[in-house]
Amino acid sequence: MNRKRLGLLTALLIVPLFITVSCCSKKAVKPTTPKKAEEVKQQVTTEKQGVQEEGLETKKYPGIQGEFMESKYLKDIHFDFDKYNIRPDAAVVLKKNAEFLLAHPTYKIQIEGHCDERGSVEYNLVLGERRAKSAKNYLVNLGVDKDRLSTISYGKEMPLDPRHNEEAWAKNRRCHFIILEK
Amino acid sequence: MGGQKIDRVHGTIRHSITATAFLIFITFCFAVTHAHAKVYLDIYSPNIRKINIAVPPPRWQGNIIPKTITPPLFEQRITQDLWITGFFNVISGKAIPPTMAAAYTYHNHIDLKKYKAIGAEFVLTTTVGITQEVFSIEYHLFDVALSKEIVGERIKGSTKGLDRVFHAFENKIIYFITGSPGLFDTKIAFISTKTGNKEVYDIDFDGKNRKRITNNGSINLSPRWSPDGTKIAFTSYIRRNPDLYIIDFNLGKIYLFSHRVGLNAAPGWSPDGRYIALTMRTPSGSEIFLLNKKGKRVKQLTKGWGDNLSASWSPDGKKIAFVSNRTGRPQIYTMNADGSNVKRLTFRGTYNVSPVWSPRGDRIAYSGIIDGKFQICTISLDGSTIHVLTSIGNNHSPSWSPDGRYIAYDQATRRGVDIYIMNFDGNFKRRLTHGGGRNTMPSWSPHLEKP
Repeated sequence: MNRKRLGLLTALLIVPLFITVSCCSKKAVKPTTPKKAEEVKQQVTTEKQGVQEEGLETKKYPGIQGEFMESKYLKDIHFDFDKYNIRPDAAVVLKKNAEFLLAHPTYKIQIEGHCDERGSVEYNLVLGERRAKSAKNYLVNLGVDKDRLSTISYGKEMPLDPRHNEEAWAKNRRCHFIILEK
Repeated sequence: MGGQKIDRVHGTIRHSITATAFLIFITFCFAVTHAHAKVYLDIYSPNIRKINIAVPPPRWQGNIIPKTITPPLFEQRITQDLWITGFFNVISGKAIPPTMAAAYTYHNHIDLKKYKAIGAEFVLTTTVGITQEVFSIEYHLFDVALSKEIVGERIKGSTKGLDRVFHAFENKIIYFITGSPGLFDTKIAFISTKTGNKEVYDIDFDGKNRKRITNNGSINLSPRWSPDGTKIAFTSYIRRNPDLYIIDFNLGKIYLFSHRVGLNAAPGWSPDGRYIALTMRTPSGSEIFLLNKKGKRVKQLTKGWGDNLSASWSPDGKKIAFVSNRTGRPQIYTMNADGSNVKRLTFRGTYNVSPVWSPRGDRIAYSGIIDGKFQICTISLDGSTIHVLTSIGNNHSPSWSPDGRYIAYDQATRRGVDIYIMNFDGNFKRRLTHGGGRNTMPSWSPHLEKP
């Protein structure tokens, strides 16, 4: 609630600024009707909020119910083949992800466990579960409330890189973090 | 399961498997001899020799020749279908001298000595009767060496359901030669990415009638036929969770069956169809649970020590094979159906998955890494013998035919991924699907048409 009000406030401050700027750049601007000004204000609010505050982007997976958001501040972590332990490079990323989550205490996150294409579909589902759970435990140890973190395994079903080589596999063995609720 | 019709289901089931309503009354009008005590071909013996069977062109009765079935098409279909079984060298078309072919087709005369001269061990003659409503095949099967007729009968059905008549006829031929019916009335369910996402499909044993069953646009995995052939269980991500759904052909519906948070994966039907052993999330990892017909958990079968998954029941329902990574790497294990008496079965290789118990109960097929690639193998129940059945590409998801003669599997090569079928000993591999997306995870149905 507070957050929304704050957003509105910044918007109110920013919008006049935006309008004056655009007025200066183009001299022969048609006087905007109040209704249109309202629309512009709306647009600006969402854009500014999105990019400046959280870097949020709304997304949807085909065939899966509901939309979610992604933040550029929540980065993927990677794993070794058939492993689910948190590597040192992943630990660095998870610390930053935890900072972001602690700074946005209302966000509900889903951690997706993903695998490369080698092995059976079903064994990779189980491995993806393990990876997501590893990431969750790590974030909980860093102080993130466990009730904000759900996990899901996509196994090898959602590769980032569809190629069949070591480079692609390394990219695809990952945990991805999505925001289900703000 | 006597014909199934599906036409609705929240817009999800698309196709209809031969409708019973207007279909089929297969009758066996007369049988000359039923000398089926003799098994000519033991298909379970390794490296079986193919039988030479001559099939002269059919006699054709009735003036209606629909586009779907003409004398050349009929001949072509029998030749193709007999070849597909892997049991026969088919002598047909130009391989039969025109005078011999004409002798049968125009004068209903068969000289077995002449067929012996062209290498035939069996001769199969056919007479097709066709009217607006009724399609019939009268066939006679001859043993050339003994110079006698083994069986002769007529199979009838609706002209609208030609496939059904063909299936009954061809299953009979296989029965009289091998001692158990053919598989022409079975289907193979699988997953294809033809639409851009993974949907459930099925295809006839002979490669005809490929159809999409689901149409939800989501990720759909692990289709498994119920033992009575009326249902297919599969996992889908529609609700942003890998839930278990059931396609019920009798009800014409797809419904949500198990939707606990986390995995509802790798369904294993008990042979009596009363339970599904399902891989599900617990606080410690993935475990196998027993679900009853209502989708309620009645028992946890595995506990602790890593993950346990991919249950497959023995045909007598007393044991379950599964995968466990309790030693750090995935291996095949067996246990009693109540979860007791766990034993490790595979010790060779570092990655063995997807166990399926053979219908004859004597071996378990699985997919394992050999020299860096996944191959389909079978292992005896005491673990003493392993047969490696494939050698090209990466091979996954073995599924036995209901009689244990064949194994279906998917093979990934640089060309793509397709479903293949081979004999249980790895001989006679043939491709069942031909592109149209990546085709994976075959599941072989039981017999679907009542003889």
